[in-house]
Amino acid sequence: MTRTDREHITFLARTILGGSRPAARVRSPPLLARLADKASFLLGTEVTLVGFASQIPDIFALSGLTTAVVVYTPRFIELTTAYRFALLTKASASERRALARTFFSEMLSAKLVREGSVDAALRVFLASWLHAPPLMLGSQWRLDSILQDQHVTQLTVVVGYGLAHEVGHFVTFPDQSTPAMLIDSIDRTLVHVLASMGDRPGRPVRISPSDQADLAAHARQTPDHPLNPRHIFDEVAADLFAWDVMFNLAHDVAMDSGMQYDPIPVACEIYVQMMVIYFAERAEVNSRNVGTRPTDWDSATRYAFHDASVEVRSRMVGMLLAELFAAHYPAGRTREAMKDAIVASLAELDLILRPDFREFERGISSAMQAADRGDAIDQDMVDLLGAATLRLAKGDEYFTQDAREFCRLVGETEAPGMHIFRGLVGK
Amino acid sequence: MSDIVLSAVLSDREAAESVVSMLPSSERTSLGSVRALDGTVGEWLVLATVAVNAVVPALAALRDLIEAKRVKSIKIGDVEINNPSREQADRLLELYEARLDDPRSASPDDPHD
Repeated sequence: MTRTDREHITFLARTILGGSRPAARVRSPPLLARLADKASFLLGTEVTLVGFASQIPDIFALSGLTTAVVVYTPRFIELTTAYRFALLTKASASERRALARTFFSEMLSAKLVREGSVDAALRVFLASWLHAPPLMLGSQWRLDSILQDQHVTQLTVVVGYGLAHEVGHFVTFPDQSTPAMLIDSIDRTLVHVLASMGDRPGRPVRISPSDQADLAAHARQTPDHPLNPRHIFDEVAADLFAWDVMFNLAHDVAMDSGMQYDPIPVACEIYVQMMVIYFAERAEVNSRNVGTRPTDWDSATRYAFHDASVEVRSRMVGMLLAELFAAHYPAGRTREAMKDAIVASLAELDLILRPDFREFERGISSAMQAADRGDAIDQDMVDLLGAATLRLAKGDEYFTQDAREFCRLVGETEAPGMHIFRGLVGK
Repeated sequence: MSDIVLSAVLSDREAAESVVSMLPSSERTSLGSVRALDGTVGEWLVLATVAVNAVVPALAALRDLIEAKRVKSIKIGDVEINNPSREQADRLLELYEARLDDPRSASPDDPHD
């Protein structure tokens, strides 16, 4: 990577991550350097992962430089890790919905900071912290703490999957016949998924058969449409690349730690992390749409598009994984037996986790609708600042660090409540 | 004449392409994009290392795009502007036009502004 590339990345990160002061680069943990090496080997191009310290949870792929670049904030990894473990923790349906609402608020706060709506961002930021269920709060979710975890396979997947997916966007297909075949398959799967819309409690939008055909045709002709088969293909390709990187990396890390490598638990870890990234994506995409004042039907349909896209992606990934497994089956088992064992394990996992995922989806939906109505920024500032004062007085280290980072991002920008908040956190 | 690093973040591909078209065709000019978490392409980038005399036409193109609110940020040499205004673009343009007129700007030792 050239010096000019580094300058471009820093410039771009400042623009994308927003805030009034530049985000500082962070030293990537050794695990990520290893991931970059592995991804680079599989991609055939140099891969650079660049971290920036920021309260904004973000991750994005950046093309146009001499290497494949993925920019991330440790906060994105911390947040998705915290929610992953919260999702897998025993919790009631209402706790899961509350978790999802907090997740959404985190993304919404970041979006508002970027837009310079500081007052609204402060309200949402404080509410996301102060109304969060106790399940997910704690300093154990700092990236450096996560990396102390002894469960190397799990750790590798939770930290690496999102980054590996972004690197997957640099995969190119010299043989156009393969994408064409897969895009046809995606198109057919999409038709089935659209027909099933409205059959599930978490997916209340029903689309009439004639509208399904119109929608599929429109999506095919519109490259930017979330249901465009080529767009879904790009995501499926990135997902599969991420699975491949994770299998390889988890294998190497397990071997180095003297542990036995078994692809079945690795596949289960990847599957869960893929779902968490889908939730992060859903929360992020939907927070981006808040404030566009859609009609109720438009809003519901727009959100349904994303659900349908994810459904198609996960079905396609499921179908295509068999090929990938062939490269990873351990000695002593036949390829078919290995494939069947993994598919059965994933199906069982899906059965167990599906109700939890559904509650999480419902939580995001309700948070999104509340945000569209304006409820999300309609918090009482006096109450929020009072609760923040108590929390800071208790010495909550993670909240204090995040609050300081929030003040740093906002800088000198004035907004009601901001000067009081700065005083509370000593910034 | 010393080369200058030019970066710009634009809201759409068409805007980015129009800036690239104003730069001399060179291997040191590239068009990039930012792909967000859901795979959608958000911002577009123009990245280039150019001679001082190529900055003026690029800035002229950027000035029109700035007025149309299609430029999120620009960096030319050491000067970086977020959400640039038309007035800021005009000042930058004047600065570089003056440098072109000033024979000292042809010196390789001439520091960037």
